Amino acid sequence: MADEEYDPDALDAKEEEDDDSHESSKERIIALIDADQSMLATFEDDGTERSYLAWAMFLLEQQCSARIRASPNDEIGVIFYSTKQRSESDELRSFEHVWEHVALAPPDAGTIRKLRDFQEASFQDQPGCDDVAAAPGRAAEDLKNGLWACWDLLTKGGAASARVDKSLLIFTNNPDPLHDAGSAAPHLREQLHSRARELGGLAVSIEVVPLVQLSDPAAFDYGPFWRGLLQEASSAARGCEDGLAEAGQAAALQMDEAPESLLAKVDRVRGINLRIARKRPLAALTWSLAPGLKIGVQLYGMVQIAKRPAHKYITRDRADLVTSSNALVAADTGTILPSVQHKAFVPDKKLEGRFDKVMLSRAEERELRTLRPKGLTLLGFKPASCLKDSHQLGPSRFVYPDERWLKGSTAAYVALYRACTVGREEPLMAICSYVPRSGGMPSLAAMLPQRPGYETGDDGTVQLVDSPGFHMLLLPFRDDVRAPEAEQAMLKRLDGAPPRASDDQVAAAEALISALSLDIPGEPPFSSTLIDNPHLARYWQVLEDLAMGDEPRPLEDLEDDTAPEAEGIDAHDTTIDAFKLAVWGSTDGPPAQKKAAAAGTKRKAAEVDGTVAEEYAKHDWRGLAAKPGKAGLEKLTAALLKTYLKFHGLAVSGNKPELIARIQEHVAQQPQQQQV
Amino acid sequence: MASRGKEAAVVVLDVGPHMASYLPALRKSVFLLAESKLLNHSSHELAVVLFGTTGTANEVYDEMGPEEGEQYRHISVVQPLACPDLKCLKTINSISSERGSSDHVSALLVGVDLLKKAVAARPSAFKGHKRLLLISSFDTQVEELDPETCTDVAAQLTQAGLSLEVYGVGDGAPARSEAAAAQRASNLAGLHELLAQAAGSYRALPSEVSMAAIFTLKETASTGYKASLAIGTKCRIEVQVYKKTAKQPLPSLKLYSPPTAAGGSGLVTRETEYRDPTDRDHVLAAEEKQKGYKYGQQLVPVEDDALLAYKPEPCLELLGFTARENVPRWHYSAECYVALGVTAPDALALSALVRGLAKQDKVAVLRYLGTSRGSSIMLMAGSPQVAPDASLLQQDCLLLNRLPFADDMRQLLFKDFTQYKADPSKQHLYPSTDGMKAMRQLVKNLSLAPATTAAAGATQQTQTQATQQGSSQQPAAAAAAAAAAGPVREQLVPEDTLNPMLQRFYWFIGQRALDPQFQVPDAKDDVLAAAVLDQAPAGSLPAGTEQLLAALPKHFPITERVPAAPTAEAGADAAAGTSAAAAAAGGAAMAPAAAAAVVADESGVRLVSEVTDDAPLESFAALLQHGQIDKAFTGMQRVVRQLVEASIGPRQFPRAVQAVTALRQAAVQQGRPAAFNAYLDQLRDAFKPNPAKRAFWQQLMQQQLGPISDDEAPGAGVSRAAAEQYVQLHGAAQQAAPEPAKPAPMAVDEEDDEFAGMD
Repeated sequence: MADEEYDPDALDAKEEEDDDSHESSKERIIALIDADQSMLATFEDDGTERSYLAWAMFLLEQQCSARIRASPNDEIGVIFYSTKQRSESDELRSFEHVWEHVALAPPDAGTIRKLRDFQEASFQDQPGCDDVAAAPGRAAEDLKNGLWACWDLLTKGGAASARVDKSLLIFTNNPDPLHDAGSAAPHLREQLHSRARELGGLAVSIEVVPLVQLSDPAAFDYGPFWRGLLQEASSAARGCEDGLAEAGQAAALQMDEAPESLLAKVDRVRGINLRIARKRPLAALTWSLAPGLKIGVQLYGMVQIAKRPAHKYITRDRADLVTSSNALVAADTGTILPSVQHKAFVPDKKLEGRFDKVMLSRAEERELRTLRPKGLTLLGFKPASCLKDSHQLGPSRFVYPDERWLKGSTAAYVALYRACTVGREEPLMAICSYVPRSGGMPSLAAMLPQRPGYETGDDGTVQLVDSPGFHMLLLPFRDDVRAPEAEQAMLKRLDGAPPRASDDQVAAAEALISALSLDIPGEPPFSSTLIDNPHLARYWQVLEDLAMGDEPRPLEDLEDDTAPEAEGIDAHDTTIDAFKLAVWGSTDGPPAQKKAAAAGTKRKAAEVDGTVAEEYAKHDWRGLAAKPGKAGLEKLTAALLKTYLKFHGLAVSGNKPELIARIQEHVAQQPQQQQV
Repeated sequence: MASRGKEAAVVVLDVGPHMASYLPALRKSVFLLAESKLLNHSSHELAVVLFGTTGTANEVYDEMGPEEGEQYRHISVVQPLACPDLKCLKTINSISSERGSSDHVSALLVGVDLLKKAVAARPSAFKGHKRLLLISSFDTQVEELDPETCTDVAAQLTQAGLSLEVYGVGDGAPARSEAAAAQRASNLAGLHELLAQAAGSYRALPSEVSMAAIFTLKETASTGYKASLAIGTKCRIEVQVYKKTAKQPLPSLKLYSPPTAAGGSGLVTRETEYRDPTDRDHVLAAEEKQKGYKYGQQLVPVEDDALLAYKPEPCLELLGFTARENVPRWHYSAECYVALGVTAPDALALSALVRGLAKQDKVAVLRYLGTSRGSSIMLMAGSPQVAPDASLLQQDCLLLNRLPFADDMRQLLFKDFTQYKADPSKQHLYPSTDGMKAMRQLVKNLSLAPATTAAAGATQQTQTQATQQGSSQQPAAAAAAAAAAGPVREQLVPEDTLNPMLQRFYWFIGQRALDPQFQVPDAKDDVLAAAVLDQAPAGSLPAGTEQLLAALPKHFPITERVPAAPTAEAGADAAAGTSAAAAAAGGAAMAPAAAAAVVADESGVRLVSEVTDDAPLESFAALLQHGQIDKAFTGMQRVVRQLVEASIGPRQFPRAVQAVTALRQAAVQQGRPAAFNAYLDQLRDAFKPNPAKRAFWQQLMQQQLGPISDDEAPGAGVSRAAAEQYVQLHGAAQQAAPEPAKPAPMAVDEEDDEFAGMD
């Protein structure tokens, strides 16, 4: 279909966004929760006392809320095992003591409500908590059923599910479900391991969340049971590495790594570190280092500007998503065209007679836009200080070697990285040319090496916080750079040479800079990445309320962490005053500003006296404002509307309806006698 | 530099015999200058004066007469000062070397005269910049510019408000002869004397690249937004915030379909229709739809967008100051802005702050909300840009770069490969000692900047200074020295490097406007692209680089492997082979786009992991080739259903039929007839009763895509007769039911025709 055809124009226009929209993939998460009586024990945190079951629900509610925001296509299911009753749903009917609380599906307001409204009492009625202690081996038997049910659900959708990342969170406080199995233990163990292997073979990443550790870390030991189970799963995952997506390998690796602290795990369960968990490249391409040496790299977006999602159109009556279809319509005849094989450069209307329309075929366009093939090419090296703060166009990309399809890439990448960093006080950056896709706009990019950063946690464990590697920053061309700071017109405003602060003035500024430092000794250094975007926070706040059918919370409920602490700053008034005194000779404010403002007013007045007043006088504004629509102000051009606004010294910004609104508001405020 | 108001530029170009080899490149630059004025600055005016022409055509000569005006011979005004048009472009295109003598001073004066007269005739027209661009190799014998004349010319330039841009063609490259070199030195000395007395600049154009791409194609006048930098509630510095960088896009192309009737525009618009999901035939009117936002899978109707917005007052408020290392450079996430003081006292306060920050190596953290519609709150790092002390033209300013919020960060962690050396299981990922050594040498040989730039970098210079004064004086030397011990000055400086794609695009548009037969230039021949986007040829690099580059692949052996397919070769062959076959069979229309879905990368690695919607035939065949039979079959079955279900009207049916054809064929070959027959029944049950999709089923039957019979593949479980009957029964019944009167074959033909054009 013509619509889907290669459209380089569209690609270029949203080059950056395009970069970010990699293949759509989703994650399937099942929380498998032990519903044994022991989970009804309570635990207090932050002044709230809840049962472990309720805690699990609370954490999962937050997870769902985070998923809805970050990746709404993900599916979440909540399954209990060791319940008295079993689910009646088709899929799970065959599993005894397994109860489906939330069916595996993308979470919505209903899911959140269901998790939020969880009550132990009603849960006890249906499906009821089993007492596994009553029957030896029951705990293991139930777990086996639970795992089996999860396997069933996770494979739902057949082949299509293979591309989906899958994870399983097991909430239990039972360190060894086999402890009372007696002679059946070996057999049961083998059955459980075989379940684990099945899951591992699906590249499911499995995590055990023993909430009981929150109250007493010693109360739960992963011991031989859980460790053995996880190992079975991870070795099965590695075994099928060849046919495995990278996510699966990551899952396998994750299971390999040392068990992390429960708090970190709980954070992940809550979805707080949601973005940490997902590691998907935005693009994979080759980096040519020398003729005959091309390595594979992947680009990752560590910084990706989160934007408010775009609106959709829905039907007014049932709120269904409207289906939209595009058609190519010939502007001259109004006929629908099946495909369009040409493009044209159409000069501005005012160039009529000076320049003609230029036509080219799609094939020619492709050829024209393809200056170099997709990929990176190493051009050379510069000291990192050559990269100015103004050499900046968009978010950076992290470049990491891609061993999967060009084996040997890592060694070359590491060598390059080391050559740029080791033994150098100031690292070198590699300069490359970069073509994001075939037919994409080429640009220069700086590969800025990042040295590994480690942080020591409270518990003494050393953690990698900054991965070593290159950050790729797109460099502007001369065409993309402006220099208002050196423009004549700007300098004219300053009545003479651009001012340079004297040493005393700089010293006063330095005192101010020190006084208003955000870096407080003993506290973690300032980072913007700890601050939420208030714009988005408000959006989700309101949308969540609307989705639940509630009134939106008042704006005061919004925490805007970007607002400066004005009081704290004002408290340094002596330093601020000293600075003002140094640069302006007064603590009131800049001296000449009033003069400048006065000049501005005068100029405005002068303009008003001239043509504006003439034009203004031609129209009966009050009369026009009284008439509706085309008979009234709407018939005037925006430029004419602006004469009114200029005449009265009002703002002339905005589109036509805004201008009209402003005039009408002003007219309404004027007394009847107001005359031209 | 961007300028406001109507600009007037006079190009004074040497076309004497010595310029012959330079003219193709220079013509390109002048052409692009005129084109950019025409397309992007349509009110700007341009004149072209050639000197060294065989003939003479200028007013100065005409006025003075052949005797007195002798020195003004061989100067021709080929384009009077006017807004350029296609004719002007044509004139520039036809510039070629001539046989006159070249006197750049006289030519300069003709240019000044021309401009003066134009300004006198229309005094109010030229409010903007007035430029005179003098382009020559300056290496021919000319009467020396004596101090008196020099002062006189400078006075004339100043009086006319002209700034003089001198371009020294070939300066820096080896001279034609010693005499020419001496001549150039003397001429340039004179011109530098002139430039010392009048406003202007000099730039050497040593290479073909520098000659072919001199000018930017669009200069955007800066528009500032007023803001007051608030330090608490008691201190405000009034500033204007400007964009410092903005990606210059390519000129946009519109969809075009050659008009059928004369006088048609041929333009094509893309129109969107919104339909009711439950009733596809019902096109929704504006009031029948409303805006909704997705909350998970739920669509939440929102009447008033403003409800979701958070819009405090526009602001530029200081949060505080922090050490530079707390805002890593890679955190900067958008285009750069710059804040300048509005009045002199504001600029002074800003200057103090900027210099204070530079001294302490800190940045200001600011909360910024612009006044333009659609802007949202940003946290900005305000970093200092201190103007060089020598420059009286530049202000100290604060550069503003967006910092990421928590929402924007993906804290991805990767293995610390610096530890691989110690890890026996990872050592194969670690470079060998020799490899390390070679890479170090490469880093040294490919140096693009002198090592001492660290010190020089401290004083932040902007492009104007860099291009117009400092660096442009001896770029020539740089190229020569680069071959020896690293470059003397930084190469590929962003502020000096033109975007080759923009130049290429404009060049093509301009040439095609003159000549509709003009072909897209070969990308390989693009000198600017080669200079900017390719690694420098080994010959121009320090000695030994060639051997080093040649040895590098040996130190770092790279082997290709394909994850989802058995071997790279098989994958490549399969994908290439089938797309060729498909192109031959199904028309060329879908081939390029379809192939792209299968091909992961230019390097020949093909990743096919499933049957894809956009290239079902290719991916299906590729999977079969790789022995992934199950995946191929299930995938293809899914795709067929998807195509039919998602088809708007019958548009996708032909593709789906093609897919079924392939599926059937493969089922016969792979000995899976029963599975295909079962699938066919599924299709029948799904689509035959559905009025909207019935046509698909009909087409299948028309193409005899019935069940596979035992004759075709053993084990099908259907006799040949039964298979034929099936087609007849299910095909005929359909055609009979809706329109019993109409003979079936007619309907078939019509349908076929209708679809023929739609694929």
